[in-house]
Amino acid sequence: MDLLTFIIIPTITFFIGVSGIIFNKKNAILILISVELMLLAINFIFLVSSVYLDDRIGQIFALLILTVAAAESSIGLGLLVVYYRLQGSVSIESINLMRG
Amino acid sequence: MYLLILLFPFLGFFSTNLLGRFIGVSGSRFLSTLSIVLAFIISLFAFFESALSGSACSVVLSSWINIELFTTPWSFCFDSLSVTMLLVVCGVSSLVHLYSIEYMLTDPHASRFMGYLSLFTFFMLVLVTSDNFLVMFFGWEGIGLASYLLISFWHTRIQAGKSAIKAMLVNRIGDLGLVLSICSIFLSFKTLDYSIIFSLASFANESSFSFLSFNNSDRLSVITFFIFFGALGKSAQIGLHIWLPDAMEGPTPVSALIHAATLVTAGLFLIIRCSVLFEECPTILSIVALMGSLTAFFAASVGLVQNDLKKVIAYSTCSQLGFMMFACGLSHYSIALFHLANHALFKALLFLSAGCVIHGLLDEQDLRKMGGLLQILPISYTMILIGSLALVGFPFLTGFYSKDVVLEVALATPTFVGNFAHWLGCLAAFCTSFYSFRLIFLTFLNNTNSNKAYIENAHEAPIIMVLPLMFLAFGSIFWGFFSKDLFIGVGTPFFITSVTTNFENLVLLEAEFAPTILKNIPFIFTLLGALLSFFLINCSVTSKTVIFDYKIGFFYRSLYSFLTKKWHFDQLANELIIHKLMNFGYRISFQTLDKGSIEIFGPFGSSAKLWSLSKSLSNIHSGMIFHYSFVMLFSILFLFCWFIMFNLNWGINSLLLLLLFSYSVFSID
Repeated sequence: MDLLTFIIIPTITFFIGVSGIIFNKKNAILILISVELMLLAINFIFLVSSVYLDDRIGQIFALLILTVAAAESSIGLGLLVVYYRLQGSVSIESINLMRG
Repeated sequence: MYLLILLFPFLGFFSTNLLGRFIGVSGSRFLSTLSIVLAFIISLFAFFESALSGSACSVVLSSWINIELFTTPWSFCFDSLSVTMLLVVCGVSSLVHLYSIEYMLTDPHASRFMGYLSLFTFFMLVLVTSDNFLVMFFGWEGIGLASYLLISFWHTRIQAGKSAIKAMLVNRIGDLGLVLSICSIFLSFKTLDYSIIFSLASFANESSFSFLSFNNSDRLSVITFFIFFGALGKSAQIGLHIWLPDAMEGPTPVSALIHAATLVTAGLFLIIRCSVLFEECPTILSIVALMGSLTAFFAASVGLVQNDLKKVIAYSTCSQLGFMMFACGLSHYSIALFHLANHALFKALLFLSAGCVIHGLLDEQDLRKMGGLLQILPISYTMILIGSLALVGFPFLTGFYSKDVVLEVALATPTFVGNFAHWLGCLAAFCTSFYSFRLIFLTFLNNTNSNKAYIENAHEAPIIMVLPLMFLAFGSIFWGFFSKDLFIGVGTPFFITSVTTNFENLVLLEAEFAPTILKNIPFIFTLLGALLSFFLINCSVTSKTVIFDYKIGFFYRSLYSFLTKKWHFDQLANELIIHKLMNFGYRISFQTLDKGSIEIFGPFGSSAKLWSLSKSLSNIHSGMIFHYSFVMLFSILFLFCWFIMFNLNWGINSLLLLLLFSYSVFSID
């Protein structure tokens, strides 16, 4: 396993997350999961490059991103709960009140 | 004292039109008539002093425009030409004012009418007494305005409004020429003052200048041509004559004042005034003579078949103006002026007595619905007879002394133009006598074709309408004989200060001593015309069937329709010029340019485009989260590709890509 494998795998994971946001048209929770996936991929790259460069800063950033991701998912889930109370569903097709 | 002549008509206009509400209708009538009569009396004194005593004078009222070389004051000159015109204008105008008092008695706007008449007189007086071209132009445009107001006096009638617009617009065509001539005069002489221009005229001869981007155009020819073009419109010569017969829509006194005696004479007056300039340009003089003789013949021939009492007289006016014009073209300006003065007398007489007939017949104007009025309207008959005899040049009446002299001068001019003018003039004299007597037969002598109600109510005009006719009839009989020696007598010094004729053009003596048999040609033609109209109309005297067969024959019918359609001049003008211009104005300049390309590329088109662009831009904001995320991804990819292209130096291609991108963004619907 060389460095390239460790870079390609999180990159693929990141774009899987991106396509999860773009191609998903049904469920808002899937978006949150995809965002988590993207953050995870980035975290992975930070860790890999930290080990490869033998530098501590990457791991510090990875820890920070973990906290940010936790906070983000909790706020996102909170928003979804509020939205569910109002709307009765979390289908993102119905979220189009702010048309241009 | 001289300025009072101008002041009185203006006061008459001012008091009746601006204060007419306060002084009332009868007050307006009285004031305006009085003011013109006073002006006439003063102009008699002016005539005595300036013309008879030979002391021309010039009055500078105030300065008007004062810019370096361009100094044009309000100045008026009273030489023999001006004061003769003053007599004509004020005389005819005061009689018409007097006549209108009774003629317009029941009209609700009589006070406005009298004011307009005075206004017209004022502008005409300014025109004839002006001392420079600019003041002359002021009067020139003023009489155009006043004629518009007077023709459309009954403004509720659509035909009157249209005729007034036609008169105004056709006159404007000529006025354009006059403006061009004034511009070229200033370009050449650096002044608009008559006396300076005329004294410098011979120095400007055969010099060329650049005018309207035409290089090397002959200076005086350009000037005189455009002056003639102005006169062409105002004096209703052939080509621009189409407004005059239509202008009969105004009340009859208006026709008498402005279309017989004054307005149409303005163009001739201008040519007579500029005789010095015209004398230097023999080519233009030939054009003037040719156009004049064509007009004389054309109008007289159209007059043959007119069925409207006023239109017959209108065409006769047009024809007589042609006579005056070719007298000018043959360099005999004094004869033209003499004929102008005489013509004013008998044409005003004809119009006013025609007004009496129309007035007596409940405003019926059609000749075919008249007849047998001799017993009912003997005074009108006498007046029309006197006027017609004077018009056809019956010996020893006024017309004889001027009209026959015009023809004799044409006879004695040894050029093609002279011959042409003489024979067309003789034919015109033939037609003139034909239609004059046709008018008399159809109106007075034939059996009546009128309604019973018309005949029962027919009445002779009251004394206040007949009084002007008396004066005019007196003038029509005697004026020509009395003033002959003054105007055109051998060696008369009357016009020595105001009219110039080169001596090589002067054929007055040759005309005087021409063979008698040739001099009698016009008179013979006149007699023939009268006899022919008698035979054609009174079929009962001759063989009825022969003349009837002839009348329904092919030749007569085609000639008749050619003449009733006025030589197709109106048709040609409408179809070739007016409709084309109107079409151009609507289709090209309005639809294609103004509402078309200019609007599309101008504010309307650009705002519409911006509106649609912003619509399509805002359509991108669909509100859907996955759209937004797609746009984000797409934009990032696009920027990525774009920068790569930049780095590969694909400048044009990357620009194309940008264009494609913006097009795809803006065309999202």
